[in-house]
Amino acid sequence: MNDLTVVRSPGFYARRRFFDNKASVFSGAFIILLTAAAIAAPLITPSSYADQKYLDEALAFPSARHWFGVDNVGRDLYARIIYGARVSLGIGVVSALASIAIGVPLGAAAGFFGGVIDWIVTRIVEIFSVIPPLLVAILAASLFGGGILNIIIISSAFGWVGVARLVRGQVLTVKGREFVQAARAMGAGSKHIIVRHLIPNSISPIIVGFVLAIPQAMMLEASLSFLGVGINPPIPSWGQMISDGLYFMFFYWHLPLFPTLFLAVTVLTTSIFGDGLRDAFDPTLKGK
Amino acid sequence: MFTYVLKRLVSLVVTFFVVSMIIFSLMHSIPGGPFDEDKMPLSPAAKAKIMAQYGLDKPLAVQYVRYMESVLRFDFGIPYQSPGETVVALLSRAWPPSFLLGGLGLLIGTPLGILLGIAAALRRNRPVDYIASAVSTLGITVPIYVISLMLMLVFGVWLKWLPTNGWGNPVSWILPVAAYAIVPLATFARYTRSSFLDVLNKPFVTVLMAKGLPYRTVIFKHVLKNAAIPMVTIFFPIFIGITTGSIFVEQMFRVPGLGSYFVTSISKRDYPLEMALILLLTLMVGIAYIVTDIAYYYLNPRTRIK
Amino acid sequence: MKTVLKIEGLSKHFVSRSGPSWRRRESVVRAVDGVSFELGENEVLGLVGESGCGKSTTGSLIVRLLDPTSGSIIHRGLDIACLPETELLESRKKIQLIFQDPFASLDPMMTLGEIVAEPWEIHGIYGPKERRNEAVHLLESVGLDGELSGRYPHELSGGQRQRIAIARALALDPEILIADEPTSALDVSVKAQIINLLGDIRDTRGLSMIFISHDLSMVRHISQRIVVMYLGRIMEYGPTGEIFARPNHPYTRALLDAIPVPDPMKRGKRTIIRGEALAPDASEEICPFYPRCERRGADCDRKRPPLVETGRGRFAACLYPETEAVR
Ligand SMILES: Nc1ncnc2c1ncn2[C@@H]1O[C@H](COP(=O)(O)OP(=O)(O)OP(=O)(O)O)[C@@H](O)[C@H]1O
Ligand SMILES: [Mg+2]
Repeated sequence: MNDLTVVRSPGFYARRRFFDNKASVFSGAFIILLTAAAIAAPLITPSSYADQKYLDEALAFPSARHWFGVDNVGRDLYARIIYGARVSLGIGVVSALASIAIGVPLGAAAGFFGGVIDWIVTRIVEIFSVIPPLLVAILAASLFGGGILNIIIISSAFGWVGVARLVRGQVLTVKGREFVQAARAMGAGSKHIIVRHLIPNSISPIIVGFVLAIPQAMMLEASLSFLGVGINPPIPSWGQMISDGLYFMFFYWHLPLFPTLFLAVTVLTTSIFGDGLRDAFDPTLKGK
Repeated sequence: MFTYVLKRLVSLVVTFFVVSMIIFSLMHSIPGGPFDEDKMPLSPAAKAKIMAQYGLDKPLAVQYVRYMESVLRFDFGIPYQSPGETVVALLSRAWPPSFLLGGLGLLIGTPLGILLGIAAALRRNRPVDYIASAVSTLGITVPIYVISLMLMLVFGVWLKWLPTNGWGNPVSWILPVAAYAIVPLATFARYTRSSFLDVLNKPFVTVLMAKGLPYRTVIFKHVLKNAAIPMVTIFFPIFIGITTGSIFVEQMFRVPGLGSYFVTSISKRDYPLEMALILLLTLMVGIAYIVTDIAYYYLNPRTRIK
Repeated sequence: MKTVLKIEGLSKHFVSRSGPSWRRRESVVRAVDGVSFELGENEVLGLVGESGCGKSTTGSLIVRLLDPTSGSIIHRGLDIACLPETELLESRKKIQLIFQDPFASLDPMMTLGEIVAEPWEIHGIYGPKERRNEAVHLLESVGLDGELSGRYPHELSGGQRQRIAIARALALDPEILIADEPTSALDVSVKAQIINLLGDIRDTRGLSMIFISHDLSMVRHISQRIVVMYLGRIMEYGPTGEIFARPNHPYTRALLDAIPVPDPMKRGKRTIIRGEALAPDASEEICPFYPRCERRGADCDRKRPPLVETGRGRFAACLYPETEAVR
């Protein structure tokens, strides 16, 4: 090459924009740490989540032995919180994957084929954007019962909508780009265009949609568990621990405090991380 | 315009009936009625008698038609959990606290959020901007019960300044209202800021400033007016946020409102009350959606001129 | 001269709807309106006209990126204007399009090697390994370093990218190349290189080319015949030299007079395009140029001027053409 300017890939600028955003880098670090802790839970906790090993110390305040104290039925709160991270992150990630699995093909089909398919998908997306997800989720959970599987089904039933909207928009813009026209003029069929052009060029909104679907699912799980229609005890859930802790709030404030902090910080950091990714990939989307 | 509103109203009525049908059939086809053995030990004969009394032994379609007939007569039946009164009486007792607290939260949070957003837009990358962005991120991402709990812990448990529950004394309204107010505060702060920045960057603002109009006049008259139009559209999500939030806030602060009855009606499988509350919610959400839509249509000069 | 492509009465009308559902308004844009011309073997045909006159639309119609409203496109004895997609594959191999903007016409997520090999991939020619080797040869044939095949489009300059686009168009060894303003997005310094490359390709491969441009001096340099379009219709059509020497249509004259002349002393009397352009929803039975025309007569706004022969191999769509007899 004969010009002197250093040519840099779009990825380079995306990376630089991301790492310039201190809040999202910090959030990413927290998420990695929490994920590691959740995976290594049995190794780093003194007891399992259901062990009532410390009945004689029930309701004990935080100490060196019990970092976050002991709950009313003698379970180590720190252990329950770390195992709770497994539930929360697990539901978040699995629901987000399910949302991708539903949302990507539907959004891509709507954007690519247009016509009736697009009409149907956009109508469904429209309906979903009007109904309040949490209310319907509460109703569904109370009718069909809570439990991990049902919560994942409910939250992906709502989570795919955002992914489909993002992917549809991206496919619509990529479809109109000249390189797709060029491929069509060369005789390329739909399959070639979707596989070789549309999907590779839609990777970044898919990643962003995936990351942003995680906190939504976590929040839904926590809210349902808070109302008692979510995760079934004794499996720990931060939402449920908050609601249980409310009874003891006046004297044993540590019971609701720690799950609240973890829920707040986790939801906050995943959202900030997702926003940071989105802004890094596409600065023009900022604040949308 | 008139036909448009009419169309929307018709679609609202259709939605209303579809929702009622779906919910009704779902609630009645799921195993586990209100008079299940484990909750209330009853002899089969006694159970059949009660079922007949409430009409639960008829086919579903008959039950539904019967139910909708009485709904149109404004009769929602008798709640299983307090058979001494009608659903309508219970609801008319429960709505004032909900509307009072939710409305106060909206009234207090909205202007504060708009002011914070304007301040952030005018002082970009200064402390106010950072505070505004922290507050709005927190308020938008963190669930309302987390915020409520923090308020309770700080002001009720540690500082002991404010009561955390009760309904009689207006002092006990402060914390729930503050929790509600976070929703419009956070959303308006974020939205006002970006919408304001958009308008500030328009050439006409530069022209007005160059013409020598006072800064205040430009900001509050011209910029705010233009920035306000897109802001109308976020009323709907805020309304949803407060409505949904009331379920949590009322339960935590023990407010005897619609939200707390929603929770108990669900856990006690109180069909009449549950149906009534869901229909009420559908109606409220639908109306809020239409109102937002029409307000936007009227305020937006691009659609108004035609 | 043998004809390789024959276009007859080709039209494309875009119907656009506007307004809300309860007050729908429809308007028709006749982007291409009854266009007829022929492309000879090993010929370069220039397609010129100002922006929006339907040049790109004509190009897109010929490769069937758009479906014609009416008219025929005869290629190898087959009317490809109305063939279904599935039967178009053969003609799509033989007619290739080069786009105006080399920044938009290359997929940023593909390597250059993959891009130039894409036509083979689509038509199932060569195995994956052969494709990679052939791609290197192809890159070299348009004057690029074969090493580049592992790079991505964003690492190239505009001129290099346009070479990639040309290489891709050559992969299937086409008969006809349609170049839609291939140089208008490029720096002046590389324009000539690309034009020369296209000229070389025509000479060595013996293919025919439709060269679309709004730059008359560029067209003069490369093409044997030119088609002048205005608002979707052909105004004038004939051998390049003769048209430049003696335009028959007032619009062509106006276009020629608008070409900047380096020496001001040589500048003669100039016709300047004045007046309002025709409203897009005007009648069909009209000469589209009449509101701006210096030579317009009484019936120019009532009659559609047919494309008639005004000399040997020359055609113009004007009721009062500037032919020998008139001058
Ligand atoms: N998809 C479409 N829908 C509606 N109108 C269209 C569409 N594509 C082109 N047009 C219209 O058709 C006319 C011709 O457009 P075209 O792109 O062919 O012009 P052009 O001669 O290539 O111009 P340029 O030199 O700017 O590239 C224009 O008026 C344009 O607005
Ligand atoms: Mg063009």
